[in-house]
Amino acid sequence: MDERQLLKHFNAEAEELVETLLADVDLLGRAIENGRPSPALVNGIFRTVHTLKGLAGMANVPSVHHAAHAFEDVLDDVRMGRIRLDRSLVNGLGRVADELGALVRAVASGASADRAGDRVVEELATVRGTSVPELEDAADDLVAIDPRVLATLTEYEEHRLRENIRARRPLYELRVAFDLVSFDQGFRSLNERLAAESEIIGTLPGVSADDPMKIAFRILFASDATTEDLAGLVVEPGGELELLSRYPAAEAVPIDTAMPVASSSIRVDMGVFDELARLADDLAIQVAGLGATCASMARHLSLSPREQFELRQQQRSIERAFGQWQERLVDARLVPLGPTLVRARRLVDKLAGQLGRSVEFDSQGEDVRLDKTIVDRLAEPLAHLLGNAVDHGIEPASERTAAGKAPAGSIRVAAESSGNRVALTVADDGRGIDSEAVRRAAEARGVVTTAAGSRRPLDMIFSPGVSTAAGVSGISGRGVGLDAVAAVVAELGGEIRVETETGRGTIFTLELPTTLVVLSAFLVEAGGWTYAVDVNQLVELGLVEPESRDGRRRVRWRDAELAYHELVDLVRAGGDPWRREGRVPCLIARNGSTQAVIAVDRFLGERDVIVKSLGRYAPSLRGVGGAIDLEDDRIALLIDLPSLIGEEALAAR
Amino acid sequence: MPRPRLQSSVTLESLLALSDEVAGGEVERSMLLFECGSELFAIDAADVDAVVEAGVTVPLPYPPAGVAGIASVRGSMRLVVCLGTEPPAGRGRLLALSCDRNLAIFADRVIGVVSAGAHGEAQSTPDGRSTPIRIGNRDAVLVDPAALIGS
Repeated sequence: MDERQLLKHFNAEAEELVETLLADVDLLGRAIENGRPSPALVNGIFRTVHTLKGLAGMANVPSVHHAAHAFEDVLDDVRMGRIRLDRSLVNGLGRVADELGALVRAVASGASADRAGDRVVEELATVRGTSVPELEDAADDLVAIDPRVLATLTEYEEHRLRENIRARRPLYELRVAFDLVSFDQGFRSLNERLAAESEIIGTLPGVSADDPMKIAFRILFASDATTEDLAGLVVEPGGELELLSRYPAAEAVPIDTAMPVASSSIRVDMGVFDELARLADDLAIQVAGLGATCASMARHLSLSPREQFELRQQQRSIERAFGQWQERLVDARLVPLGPTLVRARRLVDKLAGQLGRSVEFDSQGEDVRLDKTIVDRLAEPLAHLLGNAVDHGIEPASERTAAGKAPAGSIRVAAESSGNRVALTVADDGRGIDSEAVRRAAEARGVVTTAAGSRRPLDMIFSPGVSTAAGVSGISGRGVGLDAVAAVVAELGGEIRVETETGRGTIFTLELPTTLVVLSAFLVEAGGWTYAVDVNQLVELGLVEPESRDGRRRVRWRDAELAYHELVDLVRAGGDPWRREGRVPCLIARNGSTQAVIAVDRFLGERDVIVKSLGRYAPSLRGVGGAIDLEDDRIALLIDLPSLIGEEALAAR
Repeated sequence: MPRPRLQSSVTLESLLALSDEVAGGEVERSMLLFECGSELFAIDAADVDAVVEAGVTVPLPYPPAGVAGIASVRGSMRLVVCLGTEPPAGRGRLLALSCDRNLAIFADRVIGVVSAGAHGEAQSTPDGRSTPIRIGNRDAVLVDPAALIGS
């Protein structure tokens, strides 16, 4: 793997690790609110950061390596019980994780990562500065255990022992011996069965006193399972189980019995999906042609009704299977909104902290799934809306109380899917938006309502430069933003709406498609219009001198004689390109088994575009695969060159 | 709000008179009146999501009958249907339909909204037009969005 590939791999993997990290820190916060966080969760967080550190070391990304290393130190103190795990610590860890995420994104974008790296270190220093050292329990607590076993425990194991005693969790010692030849399998299988029910604190191997051909283990573990259940578990190796702890009237404590499940997913580059989608498009044309072929066969081969029926059935089942396959392919690109909502929660907590607002965040629709590209592109607009909600929406507690509202504001992000659209709402119960102020701001900016009555003053908030924010807070209110939010939403093929009520709050609704088609396209200009061609249809670009032969235009290109077309003719856009002289910019395109030369007015270059479908009208639009929103309100048609060439040939007959 | 500019043959008074006429009817609908070329059309206002200034309409190589091209309206690509006999001249408005995210109707001029009775008996023709309804001294063709483009 070369340096670039390595970095690409790192970016993808690091992004995923940060995602896991944020979700786990969020879980930890909730576990603390509900009582006892599981040590497995703390360890999981430690391991995620540790993996990120290793990955950064391997990919030679020192900024992330240093930051993850420093983070790992703090997490080690947490899991070792050197600092107390409480709500404030988890909030701090969340901020560090956020900054680490920003650092990873900075690295991925190729921007300078120095500032982002510094912020991770600063947040870590804050966490260190505000953390509470955990007091060691009296050693008396541990007397029930054989000092020889105690002496072998590592610092972490000792800490886990103390934690379990503190939680009044029953402690056991299991003495068991295995044959020397197969002890590893026996020990592993026992460990697995035990771990499902219990937390193994320490293991001390030794020689069996009874049989020199056996190896003995003393396993110290804590478990909430009943002694009978545990005895059942260890009956097979023939071990001896002893309850070490006697707590007075132990209260039931919920335990985290979730088994770690082996991941059943693999990582696939999004490019692979795009390639599969392209192949599916090719196949779709073949499948569509199959129907006509079958019909013609039935006519010309004078098939019996039964044979015709069978042929038709077979053709239908191919179409059905292909349809299902296409649907699955689209589905595979979908990812759940969960991680985005976790980030939204973190962001609101962080902003509320910075601005001194008290905000309760609530989300819904974690399972709603959208195309990965949409989810990625949505992050920024969503952050903007949340920033506005905290900064301008939610009032300071005093103002809220005076208005007879609860002192803490509420922000709610909810996603709901209906058919192939998803409605994402961002609602706050703040002061609302002053429509009249929006109108004044819009007028001051020269934004006017051209169609009277068709546009509410409030909708002008999506126009560039219109803001009603009184002050600039560093988070929002610079008058840039909502127009950018609306632009991103529109580019994704979505729509944004706003409803507001003075003193009651504001609801932004983003209505988005669940799927997207992203394509590498080459843009050209012909007859004054812009057209996009799937780069997979192109062989190369060239400047061609057209020459006339046999009444049809042909050109020699790389020792072959190829058909020559004018794009304005193919798209029937009018104009008279034939008078053109000299060398002409041309696309050399695949056309079935041969190639064709298509002259254009100008090359505009290659780029990734989001293709918007024409819905149910798409099949009836010959030669057009969709349309693309370009900057300056321009639109490019995505044209299918082979089918346009075919249509032109048909028309010429 | 500026007074809507009306064509000489349709006066505000005649529109209001129509509103009064049908006010006693059983079912009332708000009809959006617009002109395409010299013809007057009416569409149930509930079928219209938004009226926007027509931006660029890109012509299609092989457009379905009555379709002027494609326009982007609030993030969606829509086929622009032109009901007039002449192709759209100059800048007009697009009526984005609420019942079909991929369809918009081109209007040279939007006249306004009037209340009208139910026209349940109106028979739609394959091109989405139906029997005219009388607005003042002019006939307005009632548009059935479901029949604009044959599927």
